Amino acid sequence: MSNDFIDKALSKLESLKLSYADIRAENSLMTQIRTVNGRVETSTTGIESGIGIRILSDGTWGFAYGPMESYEDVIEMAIEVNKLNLRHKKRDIKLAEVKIVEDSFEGEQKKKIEDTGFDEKIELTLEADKAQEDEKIKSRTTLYREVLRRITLVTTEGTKIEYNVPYVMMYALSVAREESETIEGYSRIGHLGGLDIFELRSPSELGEKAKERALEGLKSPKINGGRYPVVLDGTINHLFSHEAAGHSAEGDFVQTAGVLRGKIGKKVGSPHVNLIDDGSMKESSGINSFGYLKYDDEGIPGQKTFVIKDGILKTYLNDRSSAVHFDQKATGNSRAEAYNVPQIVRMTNTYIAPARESMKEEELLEQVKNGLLLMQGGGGQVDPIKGTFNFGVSELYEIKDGEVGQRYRPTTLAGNTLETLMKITGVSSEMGNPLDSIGFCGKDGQSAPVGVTAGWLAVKNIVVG
Amino acid sequence: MVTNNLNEKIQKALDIGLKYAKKEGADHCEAFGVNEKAFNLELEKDKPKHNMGIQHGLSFRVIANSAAGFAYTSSFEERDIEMTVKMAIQCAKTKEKDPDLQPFPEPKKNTAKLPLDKKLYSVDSNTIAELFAEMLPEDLPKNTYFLQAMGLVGIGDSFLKSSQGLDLVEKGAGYGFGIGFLSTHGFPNYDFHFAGSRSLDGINPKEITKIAIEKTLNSAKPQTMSLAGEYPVIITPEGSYGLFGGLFTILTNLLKGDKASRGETVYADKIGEQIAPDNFTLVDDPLHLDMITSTLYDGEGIPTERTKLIENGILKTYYLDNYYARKLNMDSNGKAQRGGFFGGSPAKTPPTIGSYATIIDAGDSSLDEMLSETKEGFMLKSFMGIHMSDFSSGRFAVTGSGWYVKDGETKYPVQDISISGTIPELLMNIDMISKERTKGLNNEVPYVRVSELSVTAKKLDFKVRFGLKMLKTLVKLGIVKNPFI
Repeated sequence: MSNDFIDKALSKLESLKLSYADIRAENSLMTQIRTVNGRVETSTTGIESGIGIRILSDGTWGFAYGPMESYEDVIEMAIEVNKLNLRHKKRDIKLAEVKIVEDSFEGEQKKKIEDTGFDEKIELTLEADKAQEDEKIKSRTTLYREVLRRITLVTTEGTKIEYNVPYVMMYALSVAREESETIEGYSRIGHLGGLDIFELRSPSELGEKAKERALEGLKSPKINGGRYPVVLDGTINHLFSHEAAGHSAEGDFVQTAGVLRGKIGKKVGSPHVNLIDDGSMKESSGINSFGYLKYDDEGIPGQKTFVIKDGILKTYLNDRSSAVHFDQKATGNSRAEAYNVPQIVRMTNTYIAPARESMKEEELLEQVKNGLLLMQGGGGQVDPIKGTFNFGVSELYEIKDGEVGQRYRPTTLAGNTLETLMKITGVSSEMGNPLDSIGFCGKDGQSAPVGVTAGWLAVKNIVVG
Repeated sequence: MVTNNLNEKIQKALDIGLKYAKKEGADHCEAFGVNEKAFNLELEKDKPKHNMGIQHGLSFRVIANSAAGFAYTSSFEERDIEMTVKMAIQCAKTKEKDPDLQPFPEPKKNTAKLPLDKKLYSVDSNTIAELFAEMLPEDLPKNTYFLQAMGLVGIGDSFLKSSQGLDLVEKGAGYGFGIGFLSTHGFPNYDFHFAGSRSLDGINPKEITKIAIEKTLNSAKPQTMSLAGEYPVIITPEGSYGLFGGLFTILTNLLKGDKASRGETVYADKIGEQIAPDNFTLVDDPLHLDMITSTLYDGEGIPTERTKLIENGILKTYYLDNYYARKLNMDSNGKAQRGGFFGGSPAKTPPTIGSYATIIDAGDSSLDEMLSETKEGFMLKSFMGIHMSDFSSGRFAVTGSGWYVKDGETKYPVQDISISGTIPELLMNIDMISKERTKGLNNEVPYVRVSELSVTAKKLDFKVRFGLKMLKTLVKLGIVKNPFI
């Protein structure tokens, strides 16, 4: 990374006597290998580099980005944008005080992505492909993806953080077909670390899981759409906590609208609910978590935040400006996907933990007695203004007399955030394997790595199918 | 306007890469560069969030050892360009030989014309900000509040050169504006309206606001219902191809040539078969004069064309690029894309198959006729959960909002209506298509009525409804502040 450009940009910004400015310079490495039916379909590798500059002047932001060497143009654009923003200013942006940080660190990798050859990565991807082979599997797709984020954050307040953080992920998609019936089976793993992830779960296991989901889906009956009492596994706990509850608590969004607006100190969930966002959770079950942050993109350490405690809304998730707006603490949730987008409030590892006595998974099944067990969430969408959500579910099982029974075809579940939070009747505390819950959260066109596998939840009823 | 000295750097960088690829033993090389200036205008309630920047990048796709490789960079340094080409060659050389791989396309001129609006191409940030400000309303109806206004402007040059002699420079400019309002009349609800154009005069900002307010009022005070069964459903143009994803985007995926070639879609080997009613015709038109995604050449430099995918209900072809067209023994219809208008740097990914501008031909029913033919059913306009659908079988289970239709009339707005089924069944069950069509940012489609669709819905719990009623009373009495505004 060219520190020369960063130093020059910082000097220039300091000379402008702005209220505040930060620079995010990036020079990240990315590789992607996609195999289809035993062949490498695409393999791409690249360097993403550039500079993003955010200024605060006259109580208003200005953000611009561009090539590193064009830093002077980028500063000019940031000033130009600041002036445009001033036309619509209704109130001053103020920033919460923070501790100045100087740090430099690298994410741990037992097997470094930089030291592993392209051939070996292709072999690993093909291993997952091979494991999906079956006469009923008509198409097998596997995607290997690695990112080495190399970022420098400097601020006019004196913070300087340089880091290299690696992420490795693998996805497998099997398509099973029998006569005119076609069904997809999906599986994915990922962690913040190197290729040592495949010592925790091999590509073959990943491929087998995708195949098994497709084949089981093919022979399983379709669930009749309707309202069912349910138990949600730890991946769907994360999905619900993140999509439905967490997005509605993001401090930038809540300033505009949302179902949790104006509800601080109020009861928004059942007394069983503690909603936690924990950027400081480096690992869970001995495995690196996907949403870990040593510092957020404003230089604030990642931390554990109780958003809801005993069913009561305690705080929003805040960056420095929303913290001042709500008179709360900055919670280390300011993140930007890359140099070319501004920081916004994002989650990290978000989940519901038991507020009261923790229950065992079997006890939750007993409590629901007759209903559905929903496992392995597969993506979700939320409307935080209306408070409605819709999630994909890969595995569905009937719960009959408290026992797991018949399997059903993958489908979706839908509900209302506040209503569902109120209907949680039990939570188990045992955290699951975080490899199963990795995801990229989308917001304002940006994606951010998030994910943790928490305990199971029992919910009085929810719409399935 | 784009930065010209960056254009020169890109041209030079592409030549360096092509030369170096030859030197390093690549059989063929294709070099792509982009220099785009982007204005992102946003006002979120009382928070201005405008930003701007230069989107730049280079990428190289090579064929070496009868396999393809791809790499990209955002650096213009000669050593970085050479390293990028080297990485692309390494990508290719570590792959198995691909017997279906052919050289990159030969240069071919598109005789069609797609005018560039010079005023938009050279627009400055002040002009665009003034246009944006025209959207902001002075007065609003009771219980209606401004939520968010957005403007996205992309002005850019892209460059494509290849060892086959391709040397293309495409200048493009397009923009889209949108605004949304919140209604607190009853259960809080909101709606947006967006418009896009390739011409600076092509958008009337005040008209966008007027339509957005109308839409918000039309969907205000939504109700939830408890039911499960088969009902006729009218899908609005926004519901089919909305900005945030429509139900028919699943169909687009099912018709991709790469999926068809791998047998990954229910429509594999179905060319020539009836897959929709006789009056259903689906077209992809990259040469549409006013779609922000229109282009003369696709991501591989192949001249684009107006393609009928489904004609009078018969599947005619798939969305095809150069490689999969050959695999399927067909001709490319120019559907290779390098990133969408609003989606990231086009230099970061190799060309992939997609649609440019979706057109569905108008039908012969009016919307009024479609409604009057509906004894009890729904008209739905937006859906959540489309991305979790099965893109092989076309199976979906999504949650939508819209209107409850009873005895031929829309009775009231509804939300949390879940519909499920498969796209092949849905298409065959279309029994009415409207004469009216709506133009979106990259589509122009009518209303379609599906005669029977599985619908499930659950009324909000009494406690939540009672809580909202109480809150409304407390707000009216001035005891608490309305938390929704």
